[in-house]
Amino acid sequence: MVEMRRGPAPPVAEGEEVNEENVFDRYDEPQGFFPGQVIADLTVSAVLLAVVIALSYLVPAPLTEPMDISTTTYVPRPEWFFFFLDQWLIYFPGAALIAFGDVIVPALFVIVLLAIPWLDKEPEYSPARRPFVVVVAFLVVLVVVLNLFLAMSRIANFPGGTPSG
Amino acid sequence: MPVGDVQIPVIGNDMVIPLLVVPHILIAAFVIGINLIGAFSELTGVITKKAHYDRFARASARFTLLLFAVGSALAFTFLLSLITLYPIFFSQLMNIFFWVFLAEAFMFVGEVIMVYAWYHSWDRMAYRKNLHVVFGLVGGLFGLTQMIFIDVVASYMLTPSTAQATNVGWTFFNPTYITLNLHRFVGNFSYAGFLIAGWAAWRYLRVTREEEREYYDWMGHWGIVWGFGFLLLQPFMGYGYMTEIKAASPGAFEYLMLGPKSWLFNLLTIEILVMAAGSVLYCLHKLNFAVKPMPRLRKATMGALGLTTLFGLLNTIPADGYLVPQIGLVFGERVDPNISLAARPPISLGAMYPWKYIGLIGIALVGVFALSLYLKAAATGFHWGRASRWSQYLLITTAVTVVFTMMTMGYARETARRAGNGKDDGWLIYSCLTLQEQKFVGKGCPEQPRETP
Repeated sequence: MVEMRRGPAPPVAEGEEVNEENVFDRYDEPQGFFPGQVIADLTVSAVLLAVVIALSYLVPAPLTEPMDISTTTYVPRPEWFFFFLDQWLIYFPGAALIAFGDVIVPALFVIVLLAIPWLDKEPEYSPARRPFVVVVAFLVVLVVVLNLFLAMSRIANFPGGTPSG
Repeated sequence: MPVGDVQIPVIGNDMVIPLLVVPHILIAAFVIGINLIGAFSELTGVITKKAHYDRFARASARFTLLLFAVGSALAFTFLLSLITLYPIFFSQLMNIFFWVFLAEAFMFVGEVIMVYAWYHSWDRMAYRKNLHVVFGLVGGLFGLTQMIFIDVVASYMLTPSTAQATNVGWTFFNPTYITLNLHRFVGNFSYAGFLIAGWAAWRYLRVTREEEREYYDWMGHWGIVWGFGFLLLQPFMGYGYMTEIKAASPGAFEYLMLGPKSWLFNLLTIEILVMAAGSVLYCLHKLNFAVKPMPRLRKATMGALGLTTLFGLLNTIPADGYLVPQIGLVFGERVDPNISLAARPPISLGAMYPWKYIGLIGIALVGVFALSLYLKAAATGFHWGRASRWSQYLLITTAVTVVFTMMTMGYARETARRAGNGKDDGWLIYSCLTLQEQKFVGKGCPEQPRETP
């Protein structure tokens, strides 16, 4: 087992240069998985579990009416946190493009997310010194939030589904 | 005589509002754009330690102050005219949007305070730039928030929400509210950018001192980066906006895109062609003066110019324009589900789908490519002050075109409400309140049915 890190890494000293060669000597000092990391994970998990239990007791999910298999007017909607993805169906309409909008583009995005360690090798931690990835990340969040709002607006104004054509 | 019965001679009541609103919008959009571009310029100056960013930001602050009062005076006169000439309409708006108007008024106050503080503390806070730049940014955000509030009203007039008037949030959240905001947000930057470039070109042609020529040459470049960069987003924003109009007010959409006003879109495509091709041509010219010669970049930009012109020209073909159908030279065949499969008329070269889609997306993508090359060259530096005269005329042309584009787009949005209510009438609120008689109809209004008081 390697030695645990004691407290946060010291700030960069005057005249000291942080580069790809020495950054791992400072910031990514290895720490022991047990007990430090395990205790931290267990603590956060326990708090989250307590919050969920409290919410399920205080604000229980309502039971709605039983499923009606004879309806032909039901418009399926995703959960709110998938609204932004639902909005992509508007940009890629028709049976031929649905897969492109809701499978291929998100899959490519996830692949890019997984590839970030190889795409961004900037050794600095400070967002101010990594403008490119910070701007890209901000734009991604912006696109998700705007699409969420657009979907909310569409669902609110066209509860029976968007007119076709 | 009741105030509502006032009739303006010669030009008529209908013309009073646009005569006041058009200059107001042209000034207000520029104020929002230049305030934010100026603040970002100051921030860039703080980071890069280059003096011309700060000089430009200070001039932007001065311009914002000078124009703000004129724009506000026009807005106030416009409001007064609206109350006088369209009292029922204004009363309806106030009933639904009281909080919007109130909040917007406070945004004016906030913007005035912040922009004055920004301009007048320039020297005093010369050593506290990080704080000083916040004044400009917050002032710009107040201006932007004004637009976001008034867009509630502007979008509602064309695509009113079907929610009850008492349901405040959902009434604001009408179908085109978000898309209109996005469209105008991007448009403000593009419009201000092109005007900055045009003004810089005008000054460049008149100044004689070397350092002044360098500064205005740089300013033209700075303006075109903002103007052209944000123009490239507009096809997507415009598509989103038109999609919502089509879904919410199909009559207005057909009137605008397929009916008597479809020539507006043809005019717009010509304006986009002038601005896009003009910008790429300017970039191509500036690459001659890159500190580090970049012949490959220049050749690639030349290709981009050809493609931009090609896509731009494709867009300008009228909807019923075919290539040479007489000799069978046509592209594709339209399969119309309403007619038999045996009848497969050729798709006209001016058809919206797919040709104009291809043209607009093509301009945007090629533009991003050309701008990326240009910014790559700009990162290594240009020799400023050497640009030719014709390149400056190009900037002035794009500036004049962007003003006409703003007017075309403004006219398109407002005239769309002429649809679906008889030849000589229209809607103040679409499908809800008539234009000439100011009478409510029983469909599409938030509280229905309703009688005119």
